[in-house]
Amino acid sequence: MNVYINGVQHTDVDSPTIAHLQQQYCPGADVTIVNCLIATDLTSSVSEGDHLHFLKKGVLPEHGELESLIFSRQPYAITRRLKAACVGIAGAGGLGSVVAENLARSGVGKLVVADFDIVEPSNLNRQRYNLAHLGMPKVQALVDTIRGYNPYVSVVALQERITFKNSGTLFQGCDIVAECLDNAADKALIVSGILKHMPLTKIVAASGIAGIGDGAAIVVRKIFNRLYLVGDSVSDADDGAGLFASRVGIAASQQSHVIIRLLAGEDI
Amino acid sequence: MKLRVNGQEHILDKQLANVGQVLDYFSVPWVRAAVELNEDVVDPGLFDKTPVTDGDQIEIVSFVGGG
Repeated sequence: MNVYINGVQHTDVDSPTIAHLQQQYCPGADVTIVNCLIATDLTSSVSEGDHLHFLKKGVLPEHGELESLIFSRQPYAITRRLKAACVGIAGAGGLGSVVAENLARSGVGKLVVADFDIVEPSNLNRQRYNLAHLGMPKVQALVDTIRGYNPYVSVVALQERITFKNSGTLFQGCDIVAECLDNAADKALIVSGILKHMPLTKIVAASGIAGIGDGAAIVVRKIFNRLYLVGDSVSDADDGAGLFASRVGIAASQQSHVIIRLLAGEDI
Repeated sequence: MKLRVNGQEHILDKQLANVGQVLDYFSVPWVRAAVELNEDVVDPGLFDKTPVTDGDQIEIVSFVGGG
């Protein structure tokens, strides 16, 4: 029988129980995960194609096993699709830094992040940077934070201003692009640019995320053929309502969730 | 003139010549707009040079700021 143990394929397993395999491959494991579920009954038999993970709390796994263990709570079929994908992130601020974190933690294989700006104190109320990043290009700070939890994602960091004209070139090869800019005019230009220059690429944009209005008003709508719009469409930062980690974060999580669903093959 | 705007039929009380005039008619600031005309995205620099005709389908997104 063919099963996977901590990401390694074993073809010679003779239909034993979970406990038997744990004893053989990771004696004393504290946590056993079978097909993304925490296993409670170790006397169960394993089945052809099962994905088993054994881990000991507080022990850093071997390098070869770490990647598989990080994604042991996600269904393998989805993780495999995410690993093969490339996603562009236009802007690395309140939206982009959260979208990048969600996608990197979920195991998207390649991220192309573009932002011209550097980290400053007014970013820290909602953008996923630390004091140590002040003065650093945002894209560089993002590479630094992502390395801290998923060293297996390839991040292309572009410290550049995104325009209507260069949007297609910057994000060339991306399956999906997340529009994560701040300014309304930039949003309109870059969404138009990507739709124009990248005829097969889907774009997930955000509009209407400011203030302390209802979080549940942040919804996803499919507008054009390839454009998904997240937000309440009306809450404008230009009206002085402010920007909060919680509401901007809801929008960014909606954006990254749409992207994960699309990459997993959901028809939305 | 008759236009389908964001999925809804509109009978307009005047004849409009281009996408820019449609944006003005619906009070959408040009700089905040992304527009599809008959499922083709319109270059934002060419709103006033992209003609519209009777029966066209036009989708308009008007972005607000924040990120």
